[in-house]
Amino acid sequence: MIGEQLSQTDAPDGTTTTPPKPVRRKATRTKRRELVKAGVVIGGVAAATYVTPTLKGLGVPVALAVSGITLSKACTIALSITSINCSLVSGTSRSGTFKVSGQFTITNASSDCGACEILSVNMYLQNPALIPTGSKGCGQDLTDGLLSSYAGQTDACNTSDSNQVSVYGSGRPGTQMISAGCTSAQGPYNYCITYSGAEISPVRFTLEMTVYPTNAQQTGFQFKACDTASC
Amino acid sequence: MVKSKTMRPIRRADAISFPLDDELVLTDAQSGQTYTLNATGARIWSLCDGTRTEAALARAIAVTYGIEYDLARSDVSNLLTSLREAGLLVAE
Repeated sequence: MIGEQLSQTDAPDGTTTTPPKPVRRKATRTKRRELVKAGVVIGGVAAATYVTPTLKGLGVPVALAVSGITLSKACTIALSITSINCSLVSGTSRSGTFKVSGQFTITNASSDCGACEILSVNMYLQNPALIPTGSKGCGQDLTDGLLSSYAGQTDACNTSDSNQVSVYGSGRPGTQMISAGCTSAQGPYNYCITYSGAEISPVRFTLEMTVYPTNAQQTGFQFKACDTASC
Repeated sequence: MVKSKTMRPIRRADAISFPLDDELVLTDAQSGQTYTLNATGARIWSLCDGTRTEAALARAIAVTYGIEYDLARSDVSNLLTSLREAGLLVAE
C-alpha cells in the first residue's frame, strides 16, 4: 500500500502518464537522497519518504518487581500458583529427577484496567534457602539458588511433557491477551518442568514476561512476577 | 558475502510481529528480545518470504521508493545483517 502511494507521488511532474525524462528523474533522486540524509518529512507525502531501514532493540524492558504483585506502567498483573504437583521420576526421595507440573493464573489488576498482550515468558525455579538475605525480592537475583530456567515454548502442556511453560492458553502463541477489566483473570495456564537434582521444597517460581499494553500510547515492557510453592 | 547474493532470506515463522504506529514490533518468542523496524525495514521484512534474493529485495525497494539500486542494495544488506544477528531470519 505504501509502495502504491510512493509510485503515484514519485513522478516528477505529479502525474503518472508521462514517462519521466532522465534529467528530471536524476534531480528527483538527488532530492530524495537529501531528504533521507536530513531525515525530513515533506507535508502529506510522509508515508512516501524513504528512510534508511533500521532494526532497533526496544531497549525498554526493565524488570520491575514486587513480591507477588508487579507494578509497571499500564499493566499490573498478579500471579498466583494455583497448583503444584511433584513426582519422583528416578533416584531417591532426596535427590533425583522430579517432574513438576501445575497451573497458575494471572489477574489483571491494572490501574487503568487496560488490556495487555503477553508476548513471551520465561520461568525460573530457585531454592529460596540459597537466596541471600536482602535479595529475596521477586525478580531479583534470579541466579541465586537457581535450579533451572525454562522458556515458554508451546501451548501444549501435559504432565508427560518436559520443560514447558504454557501461558498461551488455547490461542496462538504471542496473542494471549490479558483482557481489560480490573479483576479479569486469565488462566489457568500450565507448566510442566523436569528438574534433576536435590529435592527442594518450597520452590520459588518466577515468571518473566514481556508484555505490551494494547494502548498504543504505552510502551512495551518486561516484568517479573513470582510466587513460592511447596511440592 | 558472495554467498549472500544467492540467499533468499526467510522470516522466522515464530517471530511475533505487530504494527505499532508506523513501526513494526518484532519479538523473538524464545528469548523475549523485542525490536522495532521502521517503515522501510518493515517493508523489507514483509518481503523476506524465501522467494527473493538480496538483490531482488533491493530491486523491489528501489522501485517502491524510487531510489537508486546501489543505495537500496546497501541498505537492504545492512538490515539483513542486523536481522540475522538478531536471529530473526532462519537459515537460508
